[in-house]
Order: sequence, then structure tokens, then C-alpha cells
Amino acid sequence: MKVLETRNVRKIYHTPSGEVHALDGVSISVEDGQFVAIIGSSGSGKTTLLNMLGGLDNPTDGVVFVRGEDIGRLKVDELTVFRRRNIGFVFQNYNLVPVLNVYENIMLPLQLDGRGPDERFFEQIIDTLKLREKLDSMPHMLSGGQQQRVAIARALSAKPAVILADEPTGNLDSVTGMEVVGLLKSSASLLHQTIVVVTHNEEIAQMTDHIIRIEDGKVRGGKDEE
Amino acid sequence: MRNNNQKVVLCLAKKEYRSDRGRSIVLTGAVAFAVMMLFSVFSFASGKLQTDMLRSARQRGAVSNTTLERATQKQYEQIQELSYIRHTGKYIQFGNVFGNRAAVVDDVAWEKIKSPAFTDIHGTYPEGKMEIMFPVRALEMMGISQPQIGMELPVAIEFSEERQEEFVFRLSGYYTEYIDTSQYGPPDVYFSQAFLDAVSDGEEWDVTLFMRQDDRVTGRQVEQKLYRDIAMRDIKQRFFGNNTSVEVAVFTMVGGFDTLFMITVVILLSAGLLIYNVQYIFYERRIREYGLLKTLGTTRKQLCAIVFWQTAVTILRGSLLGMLAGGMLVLLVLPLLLSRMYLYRIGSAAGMITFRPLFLVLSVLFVSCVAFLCSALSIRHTMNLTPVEAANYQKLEAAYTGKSVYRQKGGGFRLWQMAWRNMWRFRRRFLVSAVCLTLGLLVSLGVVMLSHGVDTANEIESVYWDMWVNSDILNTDYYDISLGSHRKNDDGTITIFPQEFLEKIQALPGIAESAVTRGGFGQVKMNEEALALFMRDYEWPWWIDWATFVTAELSGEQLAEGRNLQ
Repeated sequence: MKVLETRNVRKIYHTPSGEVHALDGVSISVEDGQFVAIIGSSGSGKTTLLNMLGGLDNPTDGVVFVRGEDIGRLKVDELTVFRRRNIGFVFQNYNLVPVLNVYENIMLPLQLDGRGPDERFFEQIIDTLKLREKLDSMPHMLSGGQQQRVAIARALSAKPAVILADEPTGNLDSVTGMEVVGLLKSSASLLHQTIVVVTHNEEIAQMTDHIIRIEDGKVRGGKDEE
Repeated sequence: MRNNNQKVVLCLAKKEYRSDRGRSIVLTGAVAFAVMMLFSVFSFASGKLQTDMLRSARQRGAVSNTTLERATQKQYEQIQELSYIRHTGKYIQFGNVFGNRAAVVDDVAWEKIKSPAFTDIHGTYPEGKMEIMFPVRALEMMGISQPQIGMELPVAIEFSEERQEEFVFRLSGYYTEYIDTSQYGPPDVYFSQAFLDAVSDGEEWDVTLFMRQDDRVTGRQVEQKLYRDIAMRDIKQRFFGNNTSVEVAVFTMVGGFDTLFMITVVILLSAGLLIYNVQYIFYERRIREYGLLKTLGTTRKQLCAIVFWQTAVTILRGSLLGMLAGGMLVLLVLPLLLSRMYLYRIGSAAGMITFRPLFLVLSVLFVSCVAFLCSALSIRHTMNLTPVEAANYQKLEAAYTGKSVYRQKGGGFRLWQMAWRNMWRFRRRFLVSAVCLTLGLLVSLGVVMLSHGVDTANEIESVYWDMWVNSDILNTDYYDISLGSHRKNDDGTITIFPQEFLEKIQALPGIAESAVTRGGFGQVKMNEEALALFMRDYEWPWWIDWATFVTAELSGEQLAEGRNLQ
């Protein structure tokens, strides 16, 4: 079953120096439970594609389906709610809410959705991600690796069907990076979640089930050809 | 879709608010300043208007604007029914007492028309037959510096040239008036209706009606309306309508209601732009935060709740501070300022209500509305951005700016070029800043104008001397009746006050300063053609069949030399 699908997605940015075709007719699909890597050189359009998949940006042209829903047809608030229920995000710069402590950051998507915590699941996540001792800490008191673990816990907390991670290891050393990807993979496997990771790290890409290679805004193929 | 979880929203709002103290302080300060500014400016303007009205009323000795002499009872009853006349009171002058007018007024005339123009009213209006009420000025002339209610006073009343009688009255009250006697005649000594009835001996006294018209009706309009609505008893009877004190005060202060409206708009705009600008600056810094919250699933409603809660707290704190500061300014400083500047020697402003809660409420409401509107606009802007656009909002700006600056560095970097580019790039911000500064300057100038430009203390100082000596030139040795002019000195000059006299005055203890002022009258004769030209542009009332023209043709030098003085 296709969890994510793009059909002929284009994204054109208008800059003072002219038009930039960040995505040029991208059509991909990701199956349920897959761990997929999007790789490409800097400026190739991989983050733009991830943003389209997560409904964080609107394509200039084309359609994006998430769990069969054409997210381009959703209204702003509908998309917001759809996103918080179906998609978890992990960013390179963690994007934790600085005024909330670790516990509050993890619980935020759930609470925004008006749901109470699943205590058993929560315990499982914090044990897996080794965050038990840090629940009362503020983000600025944590190391990069710890912050990224909190971001992963936050992404997982609402049990979304899809986790989208944009360079999750970009600010981490190689050992911590590999550890984070491992955690992401094992945590997601608990819930049979689909994970899409944007990376330029070939080593991480090799850990995935499927690689989508992007160059100049176009899909060029990968480990498992489309 | 529905989510009523307010707990997390409130938690986010509180924690975000507390986390950025600098922002909270600046925003609270801006709100406080705007509330204080609006409240103070409008209280000051209102106080100034009230003061001008009070000054005018005190100098006239009444708050009425329109009069009808020799009024009949029927006219009185008809006028009372008119919607544009707020109060109508009866006034009867039946004689003179020590150079003051002996008068009787009815309740309305005393309560609504006369007494508001007086201060320090002790006792009550005379009700008993032998009761009397004096102005302090008249009591002092009688040598009574410490009057006591109930004291007995022998008073000689001059009913007419032929009839003068002396009575002993009981002092029922006394009051302080500030009537400009040179323009409005002497003050009144009040008697009871019972006394007037007793001494009338069947005589019918002329009743003058004092009318206080609606503030929106001008003197000209009220006359027209009255002539239309009230039948005159004969051709000599006339209405004398003047503009209301409000209109005169507004005209004196700012030139008219249209200017007042414009100034009000400018002041409101200044306060509004201050809030807008400060909120906009901080909003730009927070777009990324909003973008992140949106990414994590914060809906428009939740974002509104967060932002509006923070705005509400800011407004609450700012308004309290502004109310406190504005209140202190208005309660403690303003009456002092008004008394010293505008009511100099014509009573204090202590009795005036300068603290108007309505102004405070309106100021807080206006500032709150602007602050909430700005918050709503920022939420709308955020919601129109995708999370990616919000996340990159400042990044893009910074990157673009940096790139341009460094590119110029190699080719001869100029500071002014950078300034020009920034100005052009952020046109909207530049425009708002320019408008803010201009309005700020305008308001500052307005404050200076209000506090100094219309400061009438100097005018009062120059017009109302502590004491002056008029030369009754016709009865001095210096006026030659046979010549019809002043007797000239050997050197051709004219002496009205001899030098020895002036020196004696100067030498008197307590005299700090003295000056001699001379003036002259001129008469211009016009032929009918010239007069017709003049009359064409002015719609004269039907009863005016003559006019006096005052000219200022004589120069100061001519006056000093005494030439052309006739």
C-alpha cells in the first residue's frame, strides 16, 4: 500500500536572479513500513521534496498524496491537523520549542491534538531513546545528540504513520549520527511506521530499504529503482 | 477536527511570554505609553477647553449665550419648550447697590446659568424677604473682609434716580465672581423675589431671559431659530445670540471643529502606529516560532489563543501602568498647569473634573483594539505562510542582505549605498517609520503649541493689570477745551501724565513695574459706493443700519509724537 506518493510535482522559486526549478516533475511513491532515504547533492531538491511530502510547502504543480489523501486540497487548518496526526518530523537543527522542557516537547503534538499520553508507549519511547533522566531538562541544557533524540521522541509520540527526517544526523558526529538513525529505525519498527530520511550520508542511506536519488530537481533512481 | 485542549495552549502562551522578558517589557511599555499619551492629551485638551469655557463664563458672569430683553411670560413659556434651548432663566434688574446691579433671578437662572460662573459660593440664594447675597468684591468695597452668614447689613438701594431707600438685610450668602466689568458691567447683588414683590408697589419690571442653547447651535443659528419660533412683542425687542462657550473655546484653541477632528486623528494614528510598529518588529522575530508551532500541528485557533492571550496580558499590564501614570499626570499635574496657565487670576481649576474615566476607558479600548488588530494581522500573515516560508522568513532576509553588502565591498563599499538599498528593500518598514517619526514630531509640536502657543497667561498679564490709572483727559489741565485738543509742550510733545506723577507712582511700596499706554481713535468716512462694496460680503442683521469701523492706521511713532491725536 502506498503511504506517500507524488505525481509530477514541480516547485519553482522566484528569486531576484530568476526562476529556480527546485523540483522538476518528480513522481515517487513510498510503501507502508518502508525506510526510505532521499539522497542527492546540496541544492538538488531533496529537502524540498521532503517538505512537499510533509505538506510543509506547496508544490507549484503536481499532486501529493499522503495515505491516499490529496493534501493539496486540504484547507490550512485541515492540513495542520492531518499533519499532526499522520506525520512526524525530525529536523537537522532539532527545532525543539525552547521554552518547553523535554517532557513537554515530546507531548506537544499529542496535547495540541487534545489527546492524553499513552503512558506505556511513552515509557517505551523514553527508555528506547534514553531520555528518562532528561525529562525535566530544557533543550538548551542538552547536547546535540540528546536534542535530536528528543526530536525523534516528539515525532514518534503521536504515533504517526509517517516519519519525515531532514538530515537528522547533520549536526551530529558520525557515531552519534549512526546511533540516532538506529534509534529512529528501531523506534519506528515498533509501530510499523514509514520513514523517509533526507541525507547526503551514503552510509546512512545504505541502512535503508530504498533510496531515492535526486539531482537537479529530478529523480535519477537509486538502490531500488523506481 | 475539534480540539478544545486549552491547557497546552495556555502553557505555551505563558512560557513563551515569560521567556522573552525584553519583548514583554517593550510591548508593555509601548501600551502603557500609548494609554498614558492618549489619556493625558485628551484630558489636557478637554481640560483646556473646559478652562477656556470656564474663563469665558467667569468673565461674563454667566454660562448663558443668548438673551432676550423685556420678555413676556408667554415668550418664556414658549422658549422653555424649544428643543435647542437647554436652560432658560429669568433675570430682573431693579436697581443699583453700591454701583452693583440689584437683581432677582429664578431657580434655573441661579442654578444653571449664574452660579456655574462663580466660585466660593457660601450660603444660599436669598429666599426670605429681607435676605441678600453679595459678591465678595462688593463686600470688600463696603469694608467687610470677613463676611458671616446671617450678619445684618444696612443697604441703600437706588431703584431709580428719584427713588432711593435703605433697608437692613440679613446676609444669606456671598460669592466670588470674576466678571470683566469693562465689558459686562458690574456684578449682581441678589435679592429674594419676596423682597422685589414687596417693594414693587405694582411696578412691572423688565424681565431678561438668559438662555443656554445646545452646544451644537451657533449664535447666528439660535437667533434665526428663535426669531422663527418666537413672536416678538414689538419691533424693538431683540434676541442676542452668541456662540456657545464650547464653540468659542474650540475655535480659540485649535481654530475650529475640523482642525480638532484632524488633530484627534493624528494623535490616534500616532498611538496606533506606535503599537503597530513595536508589535511588527517583534512579530518578525517570532515568525519562525509560529512556523515551528504550525509544523507541529498548531491550528489557527490555537495560534490565535496563544497570541491573543499574550496580547491580553500585555494590554492588561500596559494599561494598568498607563492608567497609573496618566492618572497621576492628569490628577496632580494637569490642574496645576491649567490653573497657572489659563485661569491665572480668575479662579482655580481645582473644581474642574479633569480626570475623566471615559477618556481612560476609551484610551485603553483604542490601544487594545489596535494591539489585537495587529496580533490578528500577524496571525493572518503567519497562516498565509507555509511552515517552510515561516521557517525561512528571517533567514532569507539575512542571507540576501549579507550577500549584497559583501558583493559591494570589493568595488568600493559606500555606507550610503547600503543605507539606500536597505531603505528601498524594506520600503514598507521605511514608510511606516517615516510616518511614525513625522507624526511623533507633529504631536510634539502640538503639545508645545498647546502648552505654550495658547498660553494666555501673558495675555492676561498684559490685559489685567493689578491696578491702572486712567487719565480723564478732558478734565485735566492738559486738555484745552477751546482747542479741542491737548495742550502741547514747548517742544511740541503732549503730556498726559506728568513725570513727577509717574515717579511718585513708581516710588510707592509694592509697585514693581509701570507703563504708560496711549491710544487713539480714528474715523473713516466712506461714500456709499465704498460702503456698498463692504456690505456686499457681509450679511448684516436686518436691524443694523449703522456700523463702526475701527482702524489701526496710526503708527507707534505717530502716537509717541502725539500727532493726529484728536
